[in-house]
Amino acid sequence: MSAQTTPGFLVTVGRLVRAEILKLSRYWVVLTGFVAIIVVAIPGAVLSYRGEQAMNVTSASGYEFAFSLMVRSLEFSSTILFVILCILFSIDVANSTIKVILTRPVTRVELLVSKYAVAMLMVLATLALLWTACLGAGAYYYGLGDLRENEYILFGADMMFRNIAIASVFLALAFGAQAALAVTISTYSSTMGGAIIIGLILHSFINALNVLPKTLGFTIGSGEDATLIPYAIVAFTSQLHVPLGRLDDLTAGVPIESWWTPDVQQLVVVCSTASLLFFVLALVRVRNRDFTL
Amino acid sequence: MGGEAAVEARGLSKRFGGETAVHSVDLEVAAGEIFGFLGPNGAGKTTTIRMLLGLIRPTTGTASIFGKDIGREFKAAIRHVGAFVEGPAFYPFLSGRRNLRLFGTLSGGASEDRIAEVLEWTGLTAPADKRVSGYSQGMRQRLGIAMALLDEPRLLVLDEPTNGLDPQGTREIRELMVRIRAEENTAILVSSHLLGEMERVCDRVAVIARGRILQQGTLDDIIGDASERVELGVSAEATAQATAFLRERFATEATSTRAGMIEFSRGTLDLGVVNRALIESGLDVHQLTPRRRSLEQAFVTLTGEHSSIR
Repeated sequence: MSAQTTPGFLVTVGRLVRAEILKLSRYWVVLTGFVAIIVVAIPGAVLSYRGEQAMNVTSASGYEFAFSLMVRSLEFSSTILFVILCILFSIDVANSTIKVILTRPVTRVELLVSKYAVAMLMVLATLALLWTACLGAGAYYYGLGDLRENEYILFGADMMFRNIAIASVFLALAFGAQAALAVTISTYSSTMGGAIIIGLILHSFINALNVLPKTLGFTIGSGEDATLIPYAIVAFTSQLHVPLGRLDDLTAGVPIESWWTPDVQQLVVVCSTASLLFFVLALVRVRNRDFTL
Repeated sequence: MGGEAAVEARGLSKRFGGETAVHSVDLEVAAGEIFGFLGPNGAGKTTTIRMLLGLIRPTTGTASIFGKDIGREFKAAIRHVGAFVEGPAFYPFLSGRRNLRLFGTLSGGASEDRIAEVLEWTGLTAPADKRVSGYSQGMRQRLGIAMALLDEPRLLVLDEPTNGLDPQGTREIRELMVRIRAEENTAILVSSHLLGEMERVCDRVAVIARGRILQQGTLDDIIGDASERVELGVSAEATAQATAFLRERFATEATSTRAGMIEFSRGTLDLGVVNRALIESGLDVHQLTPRRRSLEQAFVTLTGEHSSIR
């Protein structure tokens, strides 16, 4: 006989996540999506560099080149990722495998939580892939050491990478909210095509209205000179760490010493609330749905 | 029935919108028995099974598996169950073996030996490493059953397991059910509209039509309720005359099944007397054969339906 004890919540979620990864890692649609994410970044890097060469301008550093490439790649990748996440639940409904899963010792809540966990893993994988590609390109073309001006070290490499890590957390939070929306859409659809179409429509609206502030950042300057520096671009988490390209245009010594700015606070509140709301909507749907497929 | 029931349902009903699909169904399946759940398409078999497995919520009533309520103690109840509900379901981009491995993960991981065993039982050892998208309907059906067997269940629920199978495949599934019960003492709840097949393997059956259980019991309970039938063969031209003669002389409900063949209820009739009377009335009797009612005939009598059963 099989195991006699009923597995706990975390054990079951862990098993579900493992099964989901086993499945998705062999699904050509998902693999194609991730290949596309990389494929966009790498030729993008080559084209950006050649464009800079042709215009006789150069990025101030490998970091700036990487950040610039990152923001362009993110625009495209977020759509691909959103589409992939839209099928996360509907793939099981469309293939009727939901009835196989739910006739195993798996509750609906555990199944839903595992889908969100996988969605977040995919967000983190996407960010990791993009950072690898973008920073790799930055290192290849310009190098990624300490940022110097003349003989002075402006920012050490350790500080740069620490700030990249902090900014990535916020990016993951913003992308996580989008991922939560995608999974929620997926729970309301019985077909993968339907989930993708509705997902793309909502994704366009969200981007157009900036509902989920994935481009929130901090403001440099004031009045007419105020410039919003999106986190997606800079990966700098404080006005003290302004991209070098902008330093010449700024008054020296911007008096903010913390990255926990109102904009960041707003991002955290909005994205967390949105994620929670989407999760509750999905939970209501999954708990009450009759799987009559 | 002695011991803990494998399945016990009390007053299960399900409404979809304004329509009641299942009306107050009571079912009891004993541990180790093969229980047939019979009914025409749309009778409510699959809806009932889905409620038993927690895939849909009953509007009223309760269901338990080995004493565990499926609603309140879902995981404890379902861990003894292997289910195949209304057709096989897999990831078509994975091989049969990978599908088994993947779904086995959800219960803690099926051993490679067990996977090989259920593949062998279902005759899928050779194509196990091919993608399911290339499988025939019969192979998918068998893989679905292999999946249901993966966790060595104490209760196997098979919803229309022989759909889409040829006669050979149907026979194999029938033999497999008998083997599983014999080797693993697994209770099997099998729904089907193929009554001939069910008649050969089931210990007990329940007949459902239009969402209501019409009768439940052993095959003898159900088939034996009606008296035996008798088949009379005469010349094609004499069919109407013989039918009318039987009705008038013996007050029996004789019906012509085709030209030259008449069927009637034996009741207390002495067939020797019937034969003599037919001959004396000038009819040539080609055949006069007592016949025990089949489950299908009992089913038709119970439900008044015959269009979707075989």
